[in-house]
Amino acid sequence: MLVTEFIPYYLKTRKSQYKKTEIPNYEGLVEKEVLIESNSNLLIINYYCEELNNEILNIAEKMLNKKISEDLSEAFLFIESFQKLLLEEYNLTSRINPFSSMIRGLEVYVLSIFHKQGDDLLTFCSSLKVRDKREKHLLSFELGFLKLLPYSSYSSKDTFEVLNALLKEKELQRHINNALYDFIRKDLERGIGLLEYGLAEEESITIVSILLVAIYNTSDINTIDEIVELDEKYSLQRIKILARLNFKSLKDLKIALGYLNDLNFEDIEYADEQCFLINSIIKSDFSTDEVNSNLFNSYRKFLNQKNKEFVNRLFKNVLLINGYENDRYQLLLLSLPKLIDYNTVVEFFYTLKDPKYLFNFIVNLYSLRPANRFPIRRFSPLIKHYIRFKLKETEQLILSLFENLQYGRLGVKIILEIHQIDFLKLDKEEFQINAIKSVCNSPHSFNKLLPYILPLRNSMHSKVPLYLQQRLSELVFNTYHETVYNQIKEILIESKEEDVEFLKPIKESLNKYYKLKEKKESINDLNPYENEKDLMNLYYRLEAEERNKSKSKIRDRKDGVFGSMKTSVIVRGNSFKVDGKTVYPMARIQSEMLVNPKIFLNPDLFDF
Amino acid sequence: MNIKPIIVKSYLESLTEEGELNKIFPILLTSMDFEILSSPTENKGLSEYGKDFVAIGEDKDGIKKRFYFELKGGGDRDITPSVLTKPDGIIESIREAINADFETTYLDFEKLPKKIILVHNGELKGGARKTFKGFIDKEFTRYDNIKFERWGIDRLTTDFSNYLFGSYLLVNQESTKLFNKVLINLNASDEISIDFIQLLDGLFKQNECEGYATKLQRKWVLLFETLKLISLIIYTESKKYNNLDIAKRYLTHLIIKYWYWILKNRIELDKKVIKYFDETFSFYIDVLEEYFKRTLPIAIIENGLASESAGRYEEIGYTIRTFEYLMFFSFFIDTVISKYEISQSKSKELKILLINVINANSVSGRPLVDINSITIINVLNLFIQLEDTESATNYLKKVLRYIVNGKERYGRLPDANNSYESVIRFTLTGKKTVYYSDKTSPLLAVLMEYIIILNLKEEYDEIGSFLINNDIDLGIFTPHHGINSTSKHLIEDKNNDLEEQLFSNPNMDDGYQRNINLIKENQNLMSFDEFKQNYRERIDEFQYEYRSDEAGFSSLRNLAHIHFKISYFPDMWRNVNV
Repeated sequence: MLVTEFIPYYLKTRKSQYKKTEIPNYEGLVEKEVLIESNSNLLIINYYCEELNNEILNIAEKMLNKKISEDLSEAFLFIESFQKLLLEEYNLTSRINPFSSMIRGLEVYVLSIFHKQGDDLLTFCSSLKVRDKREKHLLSFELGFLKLLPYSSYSSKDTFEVLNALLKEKELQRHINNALYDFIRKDLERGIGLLEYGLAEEESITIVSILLVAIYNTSDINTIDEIVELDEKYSLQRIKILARLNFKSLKDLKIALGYLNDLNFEDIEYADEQCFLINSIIKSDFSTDEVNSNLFNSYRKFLNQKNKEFVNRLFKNVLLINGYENDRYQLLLLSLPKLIDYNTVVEFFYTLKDPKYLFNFIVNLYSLRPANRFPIRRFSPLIKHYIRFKLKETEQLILSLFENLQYGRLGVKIILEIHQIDFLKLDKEEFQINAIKSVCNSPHSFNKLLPYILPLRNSMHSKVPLYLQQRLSELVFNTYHETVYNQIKEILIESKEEDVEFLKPIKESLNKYYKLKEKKESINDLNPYENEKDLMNLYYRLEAEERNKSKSKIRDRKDGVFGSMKTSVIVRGNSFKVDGKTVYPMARIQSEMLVNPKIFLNPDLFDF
Repeated sequence: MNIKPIIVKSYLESLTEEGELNKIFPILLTSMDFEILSSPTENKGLSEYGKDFVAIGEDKDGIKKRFYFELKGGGDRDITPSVLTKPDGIIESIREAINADFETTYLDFEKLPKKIILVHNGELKGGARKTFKGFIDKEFTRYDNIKFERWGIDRLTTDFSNYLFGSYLLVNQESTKLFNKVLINLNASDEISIDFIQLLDGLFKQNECEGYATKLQRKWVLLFETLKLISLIIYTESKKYNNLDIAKRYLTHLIIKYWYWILKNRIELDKKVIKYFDETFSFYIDVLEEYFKRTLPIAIIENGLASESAGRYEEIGYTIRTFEYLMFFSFFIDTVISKYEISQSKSKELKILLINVINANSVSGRPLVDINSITIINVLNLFIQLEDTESATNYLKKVLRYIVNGKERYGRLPDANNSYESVIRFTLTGKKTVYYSDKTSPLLAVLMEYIIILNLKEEYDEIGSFLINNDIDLGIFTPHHGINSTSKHLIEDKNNDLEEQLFSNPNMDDGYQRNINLIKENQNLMSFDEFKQNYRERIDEFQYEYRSDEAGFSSLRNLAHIHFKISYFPDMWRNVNV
């Protein structure tokens, strides 16, 4: 395929990478560096390919029906117009702009033409107004300029000068870092020259630091001596640099370790960088178990500090360590009383691969307050995450909750809200009985849980089906009556003799309940509708009042969904009409939950 | 319009249950100045030979006669051919009455002319008229000295109107209207209607004590019979609503008012008066017995006292009902044990039933208001009295657990102002109204003393610390009237003694709140022994000689506390010995 054929295809498909099968005869494009082979099957567009951009510029000039201007600002305006035209052509909004990478490439290409022509880009760049007062088409000028930098012919002095100026823009720092890495990758010699200039002239320590790290990490050149020899006033900067090195030797690693002998408990910035350095050393192949063990000790010392702000800041570094999950989990437990942001904990668990730590954490937390109100939903995304990546292990951990009756309720909550479980996988009779007990004691949603315990009627342990039958009979008699009986009947197999037998005592319980109900209803002596009318009326009147209060509270909230709307109350009716002929029915939102009546019969016994 | 006969007739017609006519008929006889020699209850298990009631009285011809009353009520109240001729029917009963002997010590009983009266609260139906007349003519022409009369619904209506309802209940248009309103609105409110209160007040106001020589004044007899009649009517009407709770409520009020009148007139030791009172009180206990017979099979099932259909209200309603039920049941047991001297095995049976109710209804230890102390004290005292300290200890521990749990989880103690409304408001809104009072707890003060009575050191330490940590004060209401009182001069109501106040004034406050201290000078919890010693010193602080006890009605005092929601006086538990 020719470049001229590829561009229309790209504009139509608007993808940054293609399967090889999509591009017939792609080899030519790869040869011209329009496409880069990413792996055996994928091709990635090289937006900075000269030939590609030359052709794009041709297309732009055709579409806009004019040549690109020789004035730099006008040229950028030309590119902006081209982008706008493309978006219109393909009916896209600027919010979803699939051409942004292509446009950036075109900008860099145009800049390189101006640079080659001898235009003074440095002066142009430094003459630009601050970003919020600048013309729209020049807003991202610096980004293009930084991309061009490695390919430019500026002297070290000029380069430092422009970078120093750009450093003031906080949002450009990342791009400066990338530009310097590109610089060194493109021309190491020039890069070393730039560093030497910076050191000799005591230029910006930020740029010098990036260069020291980039040269150390991307080349064979060892900059460790230069790092060590940095002036004492740059001690924080030095630790920052060391923390970002991919150590090349044990010797270098030991040099870095020397900077951890004295842990700084006073300066939060320094301590933060020391933690980052610890992470780098742990990550390094040259480190040993003994070294790592000592480093985790250093972490413990840091996280044992009383200062909450200190601990919260430093703990973030623990999230960046790979592996060592047990050591890291211990660090979490150590820091937990001082951690302010719950999201840090959530984030932490996302960095662990083994779900056992999360379950240990949940169980410990639950033990502190073993209540039905335990907020398992908070852990729901994490548990789901583990289920996605470690299904077998996570299921085993959920099942293990039923090995101890104390945690059965927790297990039920997980089953109810997060993940279904096959209780037949519990190997021991005691555990299966625990599962039945836990489910039967659930204060609500028993109907949703029933399908999980019913398979236990086929348990290999003879006591389990009998126990299940007994508990279900009790529940049918005392609590859920025909609702649950009908559900059991529906799930059981009518033609299976064992199931018919299983149902018999449960049916008897239902009949016993009917008799009891009849007995209760046969007299009015204990009937609250007859003897407690006043209190009952008060209760339901107040309940309705409270419900309306919370409804109007939601309605009146300024920050809620209703905040920006005008609301009207439908006094009577099930639909409404504003103007015109259409009568709109009101949406009916309904939710249902099977609640164990014992919750309200004796709320003190239930911690719902 | 005179609605009196309509009310009376429709009431008499409504007595459709077997035995109902038997209950009301002697009241009429007494009001008509008959002297009853025998009633059906005295013949239980023996053949009655056609004489449900045997009485001596003056006939309308002015001659004193012996009367044999044969009653036909229930399904036999209308005279039909089958009622006439069936076995044990009218013909058979009258023949037996003619030939029956009646042994009595009544002087010259056999010499008096005999009259057989068929009493039925129905009509002589057309189909039976001829047979009946023929039978009577034929049968009675044979005997000169035996006469016959039939009192059907019309005759009964006239007599009941003239002799009973006419005396007090339906004496004028106003009282007729009042009585009618009571009956119509019997199930309209959860409490007792104001009409009923007014009706009783009116009855008692008309009868001030004037004393008597040998025979009770007729107007008093009529008053007592009227009270009996009212009890009976309330009971039968409640049964029509299939709701004996109504009877329980109304009759409790009647008994309290009745006893107050007796106390006020200082006639509680007068045997003639007490005989009449006892009849009404026994009837009240019978009604309670029937109430418990109906409800106990339900109450002893798990959560049996909970309603199937009252919904979320049960989070309060079930507890209220359970405490109310246990309060009356323990009162009932205490009364039958103390007053009717039942056997030990029967007492044990009743105790087991009480335990069953407590165990079946999980909220039985969950007090919501301070006055639930009555139930708790009743139950504890009963267990202790029946020498079952283990059950008493278990129940006390259960109650304490609920109180501590309520404070720790919901931040509430039982409301010292005894308002279920406040509890409901708190439950639903999470906010205590200004009327909700739980800074000082009389209930916990009592329970702390029971901890001493039952010698529970561990519980003392736990609850003592709980009280101190939560800054809860303990106080017990103590009347000024005690024998050893040093504050008698502070009594404001000098017209009523302690019992008269208890039986008439729900707001009685002639007393002081006795602070119960738990803290030593060093701000630590007193030791168990120190508290015990203090408790012992408090025992004699309030002792009183009750007139009701002397009259043999000690349990009535409990009923007054129950009825007016006045917490028990300290001697109720301080005189208990384990």
